[in-house]
Amino acid sequence: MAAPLIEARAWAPYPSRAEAGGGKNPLWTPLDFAFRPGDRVLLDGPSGCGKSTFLLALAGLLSVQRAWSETGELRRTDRRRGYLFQNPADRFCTVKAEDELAFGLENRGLPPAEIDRLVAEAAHRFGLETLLDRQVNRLSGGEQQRLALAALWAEDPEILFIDEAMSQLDAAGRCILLAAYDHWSYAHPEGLAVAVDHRADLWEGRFTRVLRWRDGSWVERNKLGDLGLKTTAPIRDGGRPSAPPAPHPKPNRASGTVVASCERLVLARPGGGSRWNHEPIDLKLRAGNIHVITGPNGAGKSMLLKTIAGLAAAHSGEVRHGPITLRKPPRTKKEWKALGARVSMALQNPELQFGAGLVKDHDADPPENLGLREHLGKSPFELSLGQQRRLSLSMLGADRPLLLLDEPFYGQDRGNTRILIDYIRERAANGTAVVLVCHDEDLSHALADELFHWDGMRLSRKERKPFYPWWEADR
Amino acid sequence: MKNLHPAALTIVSLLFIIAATVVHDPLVIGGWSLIASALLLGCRFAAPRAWLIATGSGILMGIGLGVNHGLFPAPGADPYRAWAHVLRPIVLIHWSLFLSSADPVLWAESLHRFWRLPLSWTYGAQASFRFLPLLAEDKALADNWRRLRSGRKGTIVSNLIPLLVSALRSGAQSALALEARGLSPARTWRRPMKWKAQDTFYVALCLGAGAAWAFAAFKLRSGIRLWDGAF
Repeated sequence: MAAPLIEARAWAPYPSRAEAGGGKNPLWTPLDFAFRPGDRVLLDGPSGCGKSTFLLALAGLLSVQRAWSETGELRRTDRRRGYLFQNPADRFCTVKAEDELAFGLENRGLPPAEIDRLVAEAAHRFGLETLLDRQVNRLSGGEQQRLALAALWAEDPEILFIDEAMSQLDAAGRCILLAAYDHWSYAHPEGLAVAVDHRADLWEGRFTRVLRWRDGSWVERNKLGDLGLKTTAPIRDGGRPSAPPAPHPKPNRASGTVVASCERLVLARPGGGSRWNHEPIDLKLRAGNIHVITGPNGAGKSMLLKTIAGLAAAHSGEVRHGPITLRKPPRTKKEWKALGARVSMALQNPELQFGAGLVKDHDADPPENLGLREHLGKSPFELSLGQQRRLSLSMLGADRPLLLLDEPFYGQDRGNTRILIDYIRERAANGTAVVLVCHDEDLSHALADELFHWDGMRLSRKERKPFYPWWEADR
Repeated sequence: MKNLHPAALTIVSLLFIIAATVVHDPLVIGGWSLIASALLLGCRFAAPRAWLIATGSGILMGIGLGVNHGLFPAPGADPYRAWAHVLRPIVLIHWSLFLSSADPVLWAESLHRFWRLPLSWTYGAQASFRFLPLLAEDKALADNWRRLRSGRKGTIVSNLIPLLVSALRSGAQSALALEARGLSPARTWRRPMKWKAQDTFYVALCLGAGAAWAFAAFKLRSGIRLWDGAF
């Protein structure tokens, strides 16, 4: 049997500050494991259990963020590592796309001519030739993802760490990621991949081992069925779990009073405010309905929501909220108050909504309704991303006729996804018009009274299909 | 300008900035400002917008300082010296902006390759180029969100906290990314960065022009002090 690439003996990390306080509090019960060449490992567990911390510790990166110590021993070979973060942009270290591709190669100490060759090859393979001179900040979400994957591909890691890389991606983005992963896996049969993901089914049987969080530690499983997904096939043979799809009960058409509408709306790009090149948008948002907007990364879905909410200026056309007509954000306090009585919005980055004080000080709905009961005495900035997102939702006024939610399911495990589904349905049942931007196809089809697809050029009504209720899998 | 060594731009800009803060003659300072102006306008990728920004903001700050001198004159203040204070912001902003016309990536690289600063500082400087515009966008969005929620923009503290956290997180994430991608002092550099004869010529030309102007101004108005020993 080949020597392990990563091997742990009675190993568990703990924050050094705890040691200063007189006691060691390891993050989990000390573990023994060995990851060998060819292993493809998946870590699964609920939000906040420490999956990302586990991955950082495995990669030897935990001490970059805080002071950590560890009990036991973790041994890893010095093979080349590659780390893919949740947000592709988190991987960027430079300003321009071309420098980003070269950065990892320079760190490997390759000669400049070889770096030039590999940069050109990676750019060609991932279709980035025309973007090399662009600033990474100015790339769309999809382009950023391709750039991050191209840089990773060029660096040619032998050990790959993947931290919920699927969570922010649309269907096309997931295909690109899976293709890049398959290419890596084929090229490195003796390599090691360790991934964290809530959605094992999206990886379609690419993992051979599973570690699942249970009773305060990681337990090894080797079947999707052990993850609570309804299949008995070993995951190496599996694909998407074979649970019967749920038929959609309703036609794709909303009815009810119009609470807001967009008329010939054309979005403005951030920064200069230049025209977004798309067909004018006409949209009616009706009370008691859930309107879901899907679309590729970087198409402008968040900008559409911000424009409807009056947080960003439109290029042309207008948004109507009853008697209020908007093209740009209101100016006076009175105008903001009038608009705020009709609209509330949860931002994609929930931290922008928080201020000083603890979770319990962030008023509006009681946060415990959204599964935050244990965290009332913490600062909102200490919460995990999924918890922050739920807190940001609880801060939205319950009496506004229009509720805009930008990717509320991002970072949520199955249990918390169910809590959010109930919350959104309850708001709609109480007469609120809900507009939801969502990448998850199954959730979109399950929740929508009216489903739209926005590809950055045109907003079109989309036929709903039967969906796989993955969030019910471990009930 | 595009092909100049970033360190040459840094040397010239810093020397003029330091000199402008200690010299108290408006004629000298005005001349140095004109030199920076000419360079800015001649610089393909910065002019003329950069020139307008530098001149406009310098004039505004100068007016502010002038009003301040008029309202609250220092004991024994002389109006001639007050003019130097009024003109100084124009010089400082012109030269600072001229420095910013360097390619930010190359400039940051030069901090390590020429000035021997630690690599982590170099890439910290690069990260700030990337994150500052994003922070400005986040601030505008957070302000508007608070107005939408409560009609008010919120207190300075409530507005600053998320931005501060966001900036700290971005910094921590950058450090993590650098480590994850194997940043090491043993790295190679894809782009050559050599000090060439044209860099020496450029530094000599700018410093020579600055010194010549200061000398000419001294001769023109003999008796005017270039340096009075006070900062």
